[in-house]
Amino acid sequence: MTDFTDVLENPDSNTKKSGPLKQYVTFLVDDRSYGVDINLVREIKQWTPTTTLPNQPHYTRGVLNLRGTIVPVHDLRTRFGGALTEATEVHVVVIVWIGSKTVGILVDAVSDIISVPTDDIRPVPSGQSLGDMSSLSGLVNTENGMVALLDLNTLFPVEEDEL
Amino acid sequence: MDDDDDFDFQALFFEECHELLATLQEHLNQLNDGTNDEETVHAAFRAVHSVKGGAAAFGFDQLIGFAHIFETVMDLIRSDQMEPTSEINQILLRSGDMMEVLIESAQNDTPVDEEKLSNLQGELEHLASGGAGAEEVPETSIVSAKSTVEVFDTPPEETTADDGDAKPRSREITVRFAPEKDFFASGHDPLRLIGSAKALGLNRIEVLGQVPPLKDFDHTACALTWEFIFDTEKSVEDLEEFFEIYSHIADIEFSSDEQMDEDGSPEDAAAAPGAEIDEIADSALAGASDSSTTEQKEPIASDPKTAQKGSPRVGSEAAGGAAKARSGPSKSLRVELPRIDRLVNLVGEMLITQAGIAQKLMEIQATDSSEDGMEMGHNVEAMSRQLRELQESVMAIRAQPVKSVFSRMPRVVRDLADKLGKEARLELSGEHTEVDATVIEELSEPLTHMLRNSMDHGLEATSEDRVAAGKSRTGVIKLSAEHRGERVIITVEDDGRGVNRERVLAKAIEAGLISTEDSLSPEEIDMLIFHPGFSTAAEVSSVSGRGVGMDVVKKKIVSLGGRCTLESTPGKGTRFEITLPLTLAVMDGMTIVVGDQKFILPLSSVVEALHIDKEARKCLPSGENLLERRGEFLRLIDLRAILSQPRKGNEMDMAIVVDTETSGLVALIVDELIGQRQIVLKSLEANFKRVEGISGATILGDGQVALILDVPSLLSMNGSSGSYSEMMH
Repeated sequence: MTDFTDVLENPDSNTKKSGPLKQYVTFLVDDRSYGVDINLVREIKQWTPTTTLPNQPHYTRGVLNLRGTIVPVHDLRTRFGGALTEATEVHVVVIVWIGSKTVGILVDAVSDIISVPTDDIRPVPSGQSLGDMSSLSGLVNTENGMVALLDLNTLFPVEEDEL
Repeated sequence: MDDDDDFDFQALFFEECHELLATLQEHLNQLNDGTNDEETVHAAFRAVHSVKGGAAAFGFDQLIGFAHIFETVMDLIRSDQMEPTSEINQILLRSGDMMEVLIESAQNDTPVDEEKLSNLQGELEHLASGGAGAEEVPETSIVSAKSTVEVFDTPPEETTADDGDAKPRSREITVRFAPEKDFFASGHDPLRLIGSAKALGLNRIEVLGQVPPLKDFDHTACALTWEFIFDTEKSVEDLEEFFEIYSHIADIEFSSDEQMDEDGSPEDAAAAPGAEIDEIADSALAGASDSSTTEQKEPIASDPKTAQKGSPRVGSEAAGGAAKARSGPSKSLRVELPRIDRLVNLVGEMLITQAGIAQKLMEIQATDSSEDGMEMGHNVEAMSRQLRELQESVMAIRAQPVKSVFSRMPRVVRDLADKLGKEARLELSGEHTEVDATVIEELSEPLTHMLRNSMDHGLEATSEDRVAAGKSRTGVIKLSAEHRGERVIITVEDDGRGVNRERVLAKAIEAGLISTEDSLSPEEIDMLIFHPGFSTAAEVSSVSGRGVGMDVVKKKIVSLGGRCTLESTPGKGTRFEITLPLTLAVMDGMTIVVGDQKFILPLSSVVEALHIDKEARKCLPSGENLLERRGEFLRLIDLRAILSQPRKGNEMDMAIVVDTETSGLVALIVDELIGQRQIVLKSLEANFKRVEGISGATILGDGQVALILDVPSLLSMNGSSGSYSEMMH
């Protein structure tokens, strides 16, 4: 993955080339765009019913079988304070790495892969009136509107194994 | 039998040696590459030192002598009295190789090149005698390094010369074993015979005789004759003794290859050159220095008897010998655990897939009873059997002796003895009992707790108390392991004062666990110490540590699918027995339906399934539901409430009685009972975290995840963990 090929494939980034490029997978929840570093995305999977777990946060939809390993699935909409997603076959689970763990995130749809020069990533404005924004690591403006980049570790903290 | 034990320890020592040598080589190479940090030198020193220590225990003099001087040199480097120049590093590397040859020799009686050994030893001594002198050595040492390294590159058994006949030669004894017709009928098992014969040095088996055509075949008669070829140090008489028990039921002939013995050339040595001449020739062609090749060829030429013997011997035998000699070092193979885990997982996947196929097939067969379906059914069944076997074999790879945990325990006891000012000795037995690595990992913690408990509460407070009670000053704690069926039993037994029932009772009443009116049997009182909320530890001393009581031990054991019992005789001692499954990778489970999900109950905890009669349902004023079962009242727990599952409308009338171990029997209301099956355990923690009430998960035939219930922790989730007195009634 050299910058060169990235530039070829993404001619628009050529014009405002500043800083190394980073790629993000973007997806939609309630028509808002969110992005996750492509290196953290393991795969994208169609929604299948999960096995629910007792006494978990509302946004934890349960666990699913990912080729023999048990992977928890979190509902991004619910995590951001929305209602439970009424998941159907058109919904998508983005399987990501968080630390050493594999976690699924339920979203409405995957939209794109974008290449963003790191200099174009804008900080998230802070301010009490905005509420807790720590789960976002930055904002990017694209042709199709703003993409909020997720900080997965803050959003779905995992307990790292001891040792 | 003592011999056998000793032999086992030797095998362990050699295994350890190979590990240590691998470390040594690694660090020596690092040194040679210029890494001269303290840790590298120390690690290398430790490796040599450990080998020396072990060798001393078994009296391998040659090895001890060499390791000693090697160690001395390493020590000089370690203490910065010598600078590891490249010349010195070369000597060290060769010494590392020599260690390997010596260990090999000690293990397999392979010959050692005495000349090389004494040269190298001389060089090391030279280094040890004065670091300054080291500067002169280089030239000669480099030259000799060249010639020796080639020798060492070839397998050690090809190196030359006599190794002295100090050890008893093994001889070849052939036992022709022709069982009579009713051999099977009298309950003999050839496989078992062969198994025990292995310990006597059984080397090969030849099967003679013919199985009659199928129509004449009598499966109750043994049609075969075996020829057992032993390669053993034991005498014919020893073997005769071994076979004695079969003498009335089988025709047994003994013949010994005594001639070999007289020749004084071990079979290995005779066989090896014969089979490996090609290789030696190859290495000669490859440009090995003249001296080394001549040396290699010498034994073949110098011992015509051997050479002659070598070739006319049946080819297979020579090859067998060579294979044996060669397979010597790699009898055990070190494989990274994750690789084996992957294998175990894959087999688990296959079992799940197979279950899926079987399930689907049953559905198809229910509607379509064609021949094809039947045939496929047989195939699936055969596959299922093979899979089980495959699974067992794979699990066997991961099995480990409990020794790895047990060996840490003497230290625990020593430390505690110091801390408590008690005299105690730990006796281990059954350390070689093999258990799956997954269980081994989990054993250490509960065992430590149990030993702490025995040290702290089990043994008398002082040695004087013991003497007064007519016992030896030193308390004895026995830790043992054994297989019983598909489970492993681990016992911790002390010869202390036994459970102080009055004190336990008083404490339980004080803590409100029982009321003064409860009349408990002595056994019931003993069991109180497992009750959560009954921890003498926090109060009595800091030793039983972290305020953790025996209830934690019990919880842990139960969560592993095991049981925990206690037997105590006042004044005589206490005996804890824990029973664990051999593996945590698979377990037998009962599949149940609660709400709209399937769950698994560990079969080990299931007592029975019940139909709930309306009359049998009782309600306490506190709102707690009870179920009357044969005159006994059990807590009745609605799993749907605890597991936040929807109610399916109709009133449920199915209950499963489970033994929680910590708080007696309880009845769980379930929607449906599907049946029992073996399940493959999957971890929730791997990608998520521990979930209260759930011990793990498994994948069902349809690919769905089912959660495995951890009943004791489910009950505590319920928030209403009943008091002991409630459970007693």
